[in-house]
Amino acid sequence: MKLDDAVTSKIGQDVDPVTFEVLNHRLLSITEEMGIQYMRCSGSNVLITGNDAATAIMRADGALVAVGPYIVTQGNVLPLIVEATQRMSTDVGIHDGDIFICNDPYLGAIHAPDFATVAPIFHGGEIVAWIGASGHQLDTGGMDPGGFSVKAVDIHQEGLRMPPVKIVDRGTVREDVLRWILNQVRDPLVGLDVKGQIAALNNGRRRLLELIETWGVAPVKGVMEGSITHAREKLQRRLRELPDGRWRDVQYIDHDGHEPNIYRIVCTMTKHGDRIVFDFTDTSPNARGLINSTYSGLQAAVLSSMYINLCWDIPWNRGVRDCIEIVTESGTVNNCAYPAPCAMATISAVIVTIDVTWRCLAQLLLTSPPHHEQAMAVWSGTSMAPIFSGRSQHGFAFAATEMSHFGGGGGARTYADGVDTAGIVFNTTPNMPNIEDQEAEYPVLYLFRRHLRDSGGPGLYRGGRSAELAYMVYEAPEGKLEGLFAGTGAEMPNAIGVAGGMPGAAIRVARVVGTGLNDRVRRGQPLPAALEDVAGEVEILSCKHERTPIAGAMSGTTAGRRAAATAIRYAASRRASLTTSGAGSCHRRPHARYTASQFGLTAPSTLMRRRSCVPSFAGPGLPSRARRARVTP
Amino acid sequence: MRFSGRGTARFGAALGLDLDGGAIRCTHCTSTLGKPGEDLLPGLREWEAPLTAAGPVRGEDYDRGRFRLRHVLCPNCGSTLDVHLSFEGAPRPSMEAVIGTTS
Repeated sequence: MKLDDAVTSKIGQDVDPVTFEVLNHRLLSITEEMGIQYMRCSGSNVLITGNDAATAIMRADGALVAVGPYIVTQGNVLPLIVEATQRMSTDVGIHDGDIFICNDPYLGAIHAPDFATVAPIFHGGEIVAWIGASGHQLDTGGMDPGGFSVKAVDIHQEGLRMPPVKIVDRGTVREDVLRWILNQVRDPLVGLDVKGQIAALNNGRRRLLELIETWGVAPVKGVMEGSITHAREKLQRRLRELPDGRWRDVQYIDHDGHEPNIYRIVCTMTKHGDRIVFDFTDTSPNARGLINSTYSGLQAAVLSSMYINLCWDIPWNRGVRDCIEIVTESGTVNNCAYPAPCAMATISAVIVTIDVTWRCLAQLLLTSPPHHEQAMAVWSGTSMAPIFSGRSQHGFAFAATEMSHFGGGGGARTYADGVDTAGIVFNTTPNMPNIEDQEAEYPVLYLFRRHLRDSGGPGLYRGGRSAELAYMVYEAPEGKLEGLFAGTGAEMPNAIGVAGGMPGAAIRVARVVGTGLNDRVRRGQPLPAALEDVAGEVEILSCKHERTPIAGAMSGTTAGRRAAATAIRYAASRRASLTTSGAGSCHRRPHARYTASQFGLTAPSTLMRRRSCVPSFAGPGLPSRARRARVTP
Repeated sequence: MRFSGRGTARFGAALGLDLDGGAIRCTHCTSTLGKPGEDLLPGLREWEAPLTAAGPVRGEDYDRGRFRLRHVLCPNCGSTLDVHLSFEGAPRPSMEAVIGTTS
């Protein structure tokens, strides 16, 4: 449909509210469609089952206009990638039909496994917008498969690191650049993922140009500008409704990959009028190992926390950024200095920065009577990514991240428990992998995956539960795989409660050797449904465990082969609850029934654009140890 | 932990803020914990517990004795007002809120 000139001229730069809403939602739909296209083209379980990707539409200067309903931290850095591209591409030029790829954390990405692609949108010979797509790749070719090198001491050991490089030149894929990328990585599926990003951007470009063709470039640019202005003004109004004050919280990262050192992230949040300042003074210096994040990760974390806690009905874009100030010192663990390694940024410094800012924002909301019910306890808190690699039962080399760590629990709310396995905090549409797909793709066999009992933080309303799982190597052609584990929050939970709620679970990784499970499989006997029922020697592994062989079954393995060593279990820690005040019961005995009134926060029903997320497993109906009772003042 | 401003409010289920009336009370036992503008912490009780007080899988397999759970309690009835991690030498969480005044 093409609007007639009379209507177009009436719209002009002053877009009426109805048209604004139509076009603004159209922009959001385009970001969502780009993501769907990307994931459908990809062959990676990380993308297909975990939705570990991001899409965005940006203004001509790179300011974020609309972000897709995926990994919001990845989406938040796409403007930084655009800025780096504009700054560094004066020699090669930026032309219609170009696409640039970048994964350098020191130039805007969060960590090397997140490959970001950005494309200019030209109309009438000038750039009117940018679009972007980012996704977590299966491998970056560093010291260890999967992109997380536990023993890295600088960014150069973490594999491929690309400044903005032109991968599509005026509509033609640069096969030399693609070959160069694939030459660095272990898993050829990375090539399909990159092509998926290119396809997504091609489609996004087409959709945006259709929109401009239908409505005119001025109204579309007007809506983009208007969305940012709307977000800024609406957030400023909300901030003025909230109490002024200062809140400080401290959270920790345990183990830097080399030593079990403790790193703290300190946030002092000051709200005055319509501004918020996040001051990270007193944060620990950056670590020797991979737990750091660069400034891009820090900013992404702060913005994500702001979006979810304060912007439930406000567009997530540059307008929010205009209302905050970030005070940080280069060389700290969440603003590391080159060449500090940061492969694990997303599930260490970034997620813990979200935790610490989240708790400050939750307490701010709790002190505001009109907004009290929007407060949530810290959501998910920590994460643990098991990575295994080797040769699949189909004969292909692979590197895979077991994505069940996306099944974290939701923070409890002021009126309800947290949602069990609601998802990792920075993914608005989190999924966990389908176990049948995992077993079809990789030589593994799952013993169980279910809700972890008592993993939600107790309180008047408990936090959502997270998951535990165990798997073994099964029918690997080489008789084994290699695995490594990169997690945060083993020595202490990061899912801290608010206003008296208790913390949720920490993580735990265990390996069992000498299980005899392969024999049981061969004999067709039932497999154990609990770690306690698995025979063998249990070894608790470090939360950052370097690459290690994981032995498994081979077809025709002779008896006496001890190497059926593989039941790996982890428990992802989730969610704390809010406020206990109860019947004098302030002593919490482990495993006790909590009779105190329990008050926590659950996933907000107002979270924007949330698709239904059905867990790919059904855990047993474990009775909650939390008992709910009203507090009678 | 400091609250000031105007009106009445609650912070969680345990703290009642009567800022106009000049009292901050425990909502469970109604005892007065302090006045608006005062730091409440010196008058509150604190109790440190192992992390497993919150339940299983709270770090016990990796425990190096460095972290404890610090409970901040009503000195009269023991109602829990805040729970956070305690780590030696680290700054502790704090809050100062001015309620009921909008800019």
